[in-house]
Amino acid sequence: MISRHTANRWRLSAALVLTGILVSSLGDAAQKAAPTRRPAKQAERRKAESPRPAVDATAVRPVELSLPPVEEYELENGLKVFGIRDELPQFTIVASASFGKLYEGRMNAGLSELLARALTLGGSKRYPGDRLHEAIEGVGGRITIAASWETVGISIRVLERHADLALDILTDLLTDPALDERSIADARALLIEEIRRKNDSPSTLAIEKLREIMFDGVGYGSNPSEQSVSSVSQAELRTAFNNHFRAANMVVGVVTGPGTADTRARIAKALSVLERGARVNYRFDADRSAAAVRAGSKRIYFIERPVPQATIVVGALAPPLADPSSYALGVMNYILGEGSFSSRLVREIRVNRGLSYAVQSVLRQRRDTGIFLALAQTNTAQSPLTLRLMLENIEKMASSPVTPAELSWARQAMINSYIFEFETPLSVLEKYMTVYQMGLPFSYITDYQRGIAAVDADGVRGAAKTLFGPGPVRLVLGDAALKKELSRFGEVVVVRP
Amino acid sequence: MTGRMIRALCLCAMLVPVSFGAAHGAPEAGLEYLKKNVQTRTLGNGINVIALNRGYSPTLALVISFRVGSADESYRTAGAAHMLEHMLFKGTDVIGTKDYKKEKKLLDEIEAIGEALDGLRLSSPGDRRIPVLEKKLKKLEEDHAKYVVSSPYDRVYSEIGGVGFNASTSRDMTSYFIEVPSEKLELWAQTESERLRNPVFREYYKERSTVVEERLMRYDSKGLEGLVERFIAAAFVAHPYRHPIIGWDSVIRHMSIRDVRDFFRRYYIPSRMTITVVGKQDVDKTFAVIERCFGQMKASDEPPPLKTREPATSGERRLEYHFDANPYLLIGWNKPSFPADADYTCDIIAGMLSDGRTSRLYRSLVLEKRIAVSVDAWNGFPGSRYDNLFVIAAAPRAPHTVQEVEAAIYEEIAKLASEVSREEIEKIVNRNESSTVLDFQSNKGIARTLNYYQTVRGDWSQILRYLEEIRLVTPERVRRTIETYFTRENRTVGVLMNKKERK
Repeated sequence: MISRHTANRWRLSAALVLTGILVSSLGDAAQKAAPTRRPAKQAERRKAESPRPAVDATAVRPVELSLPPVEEYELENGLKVFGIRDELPQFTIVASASFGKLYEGRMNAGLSELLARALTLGGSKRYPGDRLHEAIEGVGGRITIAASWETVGISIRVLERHADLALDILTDLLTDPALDERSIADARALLIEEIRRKNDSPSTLAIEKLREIMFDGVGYGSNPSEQSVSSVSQAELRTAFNNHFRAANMVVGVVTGPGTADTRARIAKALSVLERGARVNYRFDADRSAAAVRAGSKRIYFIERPVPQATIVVGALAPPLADPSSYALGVMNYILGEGSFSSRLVREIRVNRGLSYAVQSVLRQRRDTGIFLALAQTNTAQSPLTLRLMLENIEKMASSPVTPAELSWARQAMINSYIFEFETPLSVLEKYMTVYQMGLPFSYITDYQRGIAAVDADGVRGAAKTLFGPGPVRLVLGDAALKKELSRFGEVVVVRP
Repeated sequence: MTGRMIRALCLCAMLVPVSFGAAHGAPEAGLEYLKKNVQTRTLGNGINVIALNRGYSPTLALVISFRVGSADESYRTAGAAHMLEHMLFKGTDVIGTKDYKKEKKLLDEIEAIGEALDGLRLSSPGDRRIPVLEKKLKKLEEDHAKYVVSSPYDRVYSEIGGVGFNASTSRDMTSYFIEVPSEKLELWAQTESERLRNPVFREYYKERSTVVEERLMRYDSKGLEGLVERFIAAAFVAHPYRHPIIGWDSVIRHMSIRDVRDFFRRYYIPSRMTITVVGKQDVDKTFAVIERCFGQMKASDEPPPLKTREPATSGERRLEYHFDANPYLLIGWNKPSFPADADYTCDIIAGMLSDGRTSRLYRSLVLEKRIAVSVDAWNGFPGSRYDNLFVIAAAPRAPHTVQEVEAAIYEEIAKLASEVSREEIEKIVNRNESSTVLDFQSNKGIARTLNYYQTVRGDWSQILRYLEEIRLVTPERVRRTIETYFTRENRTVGVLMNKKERK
């Protein structure tokens, strides 16, 4: 490992928080997926495909994607499997269940996270607690069980020669998890302590509170508390596991080294024992969120904290990834605040005025919902000016067209950088798994660059109008002195952490 | 905030080797693969170039590093290495300008007024000339803006699909990195060589304000980061490792543009520079392109070596940092850096204490005693060019206190010294070996690691020797190292205390 004691110039830690909070543990694959593949059989079309977007002749020729073949098959119990080869003598297996924080509400917020931790600590019947980790660590491997927004995943990585051990452990975890009282109690205590500590970070706290307001405490707005985590029982955890870790609700990805043979037969033998079950989707109440945003946009929310720098967050509800406006929204967000120094927010707030180090916008679209967030951190005195600049620039995206130069730059940047989404075999695999779990057609993967190339200035403005139409929700965390200043932006509502 | 998070956030230089592996076969074959496939050149002016052709994706990870960091600063210039890193994004006399001749006149005026203002603010803060000069500076900056093409590299690189265009400063080194499609290698080389030829520090005072904001965000608004800063300053009484990389607020606010420029001229020299190119490429062509673009840089004399050595410790140093945040504990022991045997032994000790869920500290403090929510140990903090620290960081689990956690840590270290076995050491060595495959994933990670070894340790191939070195660690060496360095007299203890609870 190398020295990480660094001070990065651009990669904003607050933005990392933003990204960390919004990105799934399967990688940031939600918005862009993978390209060519050579499936064992034709991929099923899980949703009607939209017509292919026309390619803009002025867009640059994207770099050709040259990727290792991806094998795709389905076991008799309905378990979808993707496989890929690596030149390294490794064996990585990832089992991902459709479940996660978007499935939670106020009362059970933290359920998926608690489940992941209890599985990590308790292991399974044949590999309980310590024995699980002794087995993996003894061969120099790694195991990660983590909950994200739409998935809970188990990932095991070992050297190729230990593939059977990895498969055996995964199978036992999936068929006979311990979920015993002691592991659950430990997991609960650790999670509660981490919830408490999470609020030590101003940006994390501000973003989580804004999400809670926008989504009325449900799904994207679920925010685990000591109370909600304490209320989850052993029976609820077992039920959650039994409902979601079933073949039809999961997808498995396998990366094998050059010396691994008969992977498909070994996977089939190990994982055919899983019960079929059924696909379980979360329910997103669009009307409820829309009402929350309408009400929230009339106010300005304030968290008082005695720190010398304020954190400003502005949010809006975004449509799901399958929405036709998604390409235009992506370009809009790139021009507004994702495209580093050349984006409007960074240029106006950081480069031209030196008001903030951390300023960025992020768009995350998922299967049934999505979120836009813009964040800036600045000293107390400059907070009103910074907030005003953020709002003005957001408003401009909807009221006037982007320039031809901006549009061309954003499209080229997004198209040409697409190749980096597929740098490693594991990243290719994860894209396939994500697209499958999101219920998107696989053509989404290959159409992405065309979709971006077809975006025009009207599309960008239209997407911004729809996104920001209800009025963005605003939240500021900072010194008490700010409260009075903020009243110029609307009714100030104090939020308790 | 977990120890792992701190590790990633700001702090460590740690366990060393490992991000490498094999194309085929066992882990050791992986190191053999590196030996066979990594190619190097030293240009006539002294620049080291490292290239590795790998992967299926037509992309390249590119890193340029200089062996200079905050360890090379004085009290006057603390933060200069980092400030310089920011200024290297502002262009040159031909990049980022609409008319350099006209711009230069304004830049000279801006600099003269800026320096005068800083002088007055320091010597006579109430001076009536200050607001007048501030107004004048603002007007000049507005005039100057007409000639500036802001963030010129960002635009060029993003358009060609470059990702991760960034830079970092540590105590030991400064790095500039990006990933681009392989076919853009020449464009990158031309741009970067020009970037280093004659950088122009335009928009300096605005950028200085940005760095003040960066400091507020990273250190002054978070308890743990504030603790770490003070902890390091307490652990090193003389050595410049004690300076924060970003600099203290008061120094940043008055950082002289001349000092930053001098820093550039003194330290950004070919003999301190390493270029690493990892990804799909024709290596011969890569060397030719780099020779053509960077071979023109003039060689320069090495600046004099650092005189200051950290004096021997002679008693525990203990500090409290009060903040509106949950409690945290840091313990550090001063120790030698590589290539001392003790450094390799400390890597093994760190592994036994906190690497994985079966490690001693995690098992004892988190799972059995249930007094901590996280605990992490690492070796080589906050840098490795000079003698450094072995650090343990822990977050108590409420209602347990830092005192309980601290006592339990000392107990575990004593236990380790008395019961360490050959098998336990081998387990850590094995984990390092398998890491040579499992961590060998991205071009970016490999490029940065090769670059780090060349820049800080003087030779990328030290990676190959690392496994041999840690295999030589014995239980006796572990015991001796603990007895010698893990003593009360040799340690620094930092405690983050919740301000509210103090009241």
